[in-house]
Amino acid sequence: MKTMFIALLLVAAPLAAAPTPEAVTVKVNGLVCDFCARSIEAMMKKRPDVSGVHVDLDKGEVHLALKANATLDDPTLKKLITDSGYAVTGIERRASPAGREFQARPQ
Amino acid sequence: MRFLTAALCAVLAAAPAVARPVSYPGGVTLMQELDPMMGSALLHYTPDRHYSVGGRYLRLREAEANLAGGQVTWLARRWNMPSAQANVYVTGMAGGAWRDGETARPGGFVEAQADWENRRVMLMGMARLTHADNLGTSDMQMARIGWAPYAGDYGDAHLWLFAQVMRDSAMQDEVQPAIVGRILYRTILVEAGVTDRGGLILNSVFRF
Repeated sequence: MKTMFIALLLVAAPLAAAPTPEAVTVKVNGLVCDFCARSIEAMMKKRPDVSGVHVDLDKGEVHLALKANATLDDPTLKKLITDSGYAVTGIERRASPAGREFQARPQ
Repeated sequence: MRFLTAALCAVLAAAPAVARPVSYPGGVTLMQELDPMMGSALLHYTPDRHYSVGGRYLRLREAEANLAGGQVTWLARRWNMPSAQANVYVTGMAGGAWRDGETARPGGFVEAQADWENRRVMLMGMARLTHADNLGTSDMQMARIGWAPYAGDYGDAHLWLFAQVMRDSAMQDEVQPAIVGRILYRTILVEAGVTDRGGLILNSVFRF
């Protein structure tokens, strides 16, 4: 029994420690034009830590899927969006175990 | 001479209305215009979100004249609102103007442009002062109002319809109206329209 318990721990430990990809929602002002919002996608595509990006014009939101182990801190994220031509009003983060919090655009 | 100046100003009038003249850092934009009197191309690069630099060439077909030079556009002010965006741009171009077979003389323009848009309505106004040593000086103003029949989602093809008026000191101060249709798809913008005198307008923008 003890051997089985140790074996279970050995198997489960790496799984528990596995990094969980993060989904980020950035609330943005000024997001009204598809053609112009392509700048956000272009800026994010340059990032090695972003696996997907989607823009919701109706809600004024940018949805990002980060790669496992990736971190994209708020100041960097805010600068990327600002350089794209928009104003950040809020950033929400949550774990995305399946990495499919939204229909991420493959890159 | 007067015709050449008028043609030059008419050509220049169409360019800034097409699309946002400052892109994102590292962005490259190619803009093309064609109408019965001219062909034009502008290639610009945006090193910083506040300005873009590029080169423009214009061919005035009927007048058999040309204008080429460098152009800088500064994003003077941007307002990002929850459901709208507004911008003020200032542009300067300096280069040379010449008729076929003649020597180029210094020429260029300064321009101010302002726009406001939400997902269904767009307003734009601009004013420009143009001068070339061999073409003279003129001023021009233009206004556009646009309407989108539907608010498409990201990735959809977007349609806009514009009513446009332009007044040009080199064209007897006449106000020349036009209607223009615009289709946006991802990083491609295409416009087609017609003036009240039957002149065809075809513009396109490609952003890389």
